[in-house]
Formats: sequence, structure tokens, C-alpha cells
Amino acid sequence: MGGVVLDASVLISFAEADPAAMVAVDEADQNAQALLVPAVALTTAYAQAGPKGDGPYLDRMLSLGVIVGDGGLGHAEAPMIGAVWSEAPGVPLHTAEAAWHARRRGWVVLAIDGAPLRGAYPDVRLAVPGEE
Amino acid sequence: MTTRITVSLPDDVAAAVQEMAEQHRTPSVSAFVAEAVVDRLSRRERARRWLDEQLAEARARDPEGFDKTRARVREVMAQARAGR
Repeated sequence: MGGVVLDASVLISFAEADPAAMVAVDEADQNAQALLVPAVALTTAYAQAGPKGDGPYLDRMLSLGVIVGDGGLGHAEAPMIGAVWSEAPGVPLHTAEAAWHARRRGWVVLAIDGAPLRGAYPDVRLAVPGEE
Repeated sequence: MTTRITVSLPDDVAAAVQEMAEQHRTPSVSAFVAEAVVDRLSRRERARRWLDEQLAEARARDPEGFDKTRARVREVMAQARAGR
């Protein structure tokens, strides 16, 4: 069964209690479908939630059994993610990070806003609930 | 009643747990692992209950919109599972 890489837009939306993001996590949990949470995307979502913001929403999400960490962005991953980022240096790092994970695992990226990833990495399979 | 199972741990994690047991900071390696598993299951259960409450509140605010969102998301997640 294919898992899903969560784009930063999903994590940010989840922290804001957006129904689409919450339903996506629920659907994955109900079907034991792995959700990969990339480290930079998660960091971005926490930063947008702010020190007194909606970080607890993300804390709760990370406690669900279907959430898979990526092991962080360390020395071993840096050259590979850097190479992907160099293909589209104008995008945020978390977009390149999601593309790298998706290519490596052959998984779909789930996004609420799919435009940045689609524009930069058209080969990466993308699922956007708001689009027909 | 207990069940004996074999688990593999990273070397550094196994050494840390073993050291705790030797220093009597936990009754045994098994007790420590059992406590960690119970804690993880408990956190998962609390998170699941919390998510159910959030979804119920969202649906109560806008039942029609929520059901449309649910249908769209269900479709894309099913496609992802199928690898499409």
C-alpha cells in the first residue's frame, strides 16, 4: 500500500484545524496508511503556529500511529536534498524535501496548496483534495 | 500473564536501557520496554479521541461542506493507496 508524503501546506492547515487536512489524517489513520512528515515541513508548520499558537494540534497529530518520521535532515541526506533543491532553487526548502521523499519512496505528496510543488517538480505525483 | 517476544533495538538504545536496569532506575529491561509501549499506546489513543472530537465539531459547524470535503479527501487518499 502506498503511503503519502505530507507537504508543509497540509501540516500548516492541520495546525489551523482546517477540515481537509484533518480528514486526510483521519482517512490515513482509519486505513493504516503511512503518512511521512518531513522534518523541514514540520519545522515550518511549528514556526507558523508560533510560540503560543496551534503547535499542540501538531503534537497530537504526531502521536497517531500512522505518522512516520523521516529521521531528520542530517549529513547523509543533505547532498541528495540539496541536489533536488538545485533543480528549482526558488522554491522553499520544504518543497524540495517533499519531492525528494516522494521520488525516493514512489509515494504521492498530499498538499492543500499544490502549486509550488507542481511548478517545480512536475514528475512528482501530487494529490490536492481541493482540485477536481 | 506475560508473553515473551524478541525485539531488536539500536545498539545505543539497548545499552541505555540496560544501563538503567543495572543502576536500578528501572526494575528490568522488560519493565522499561513495557512501560514505554503502554505510554505510546495511551498517547495514540488520546490523539485518536481528540481527532474524533475535532472532526465532529467541524462537521457540526458545516455538515454539507464537511461531507463534500470528506468525499474529496477520501478519493485522493484511496488513489494514493492504490499508487495512482
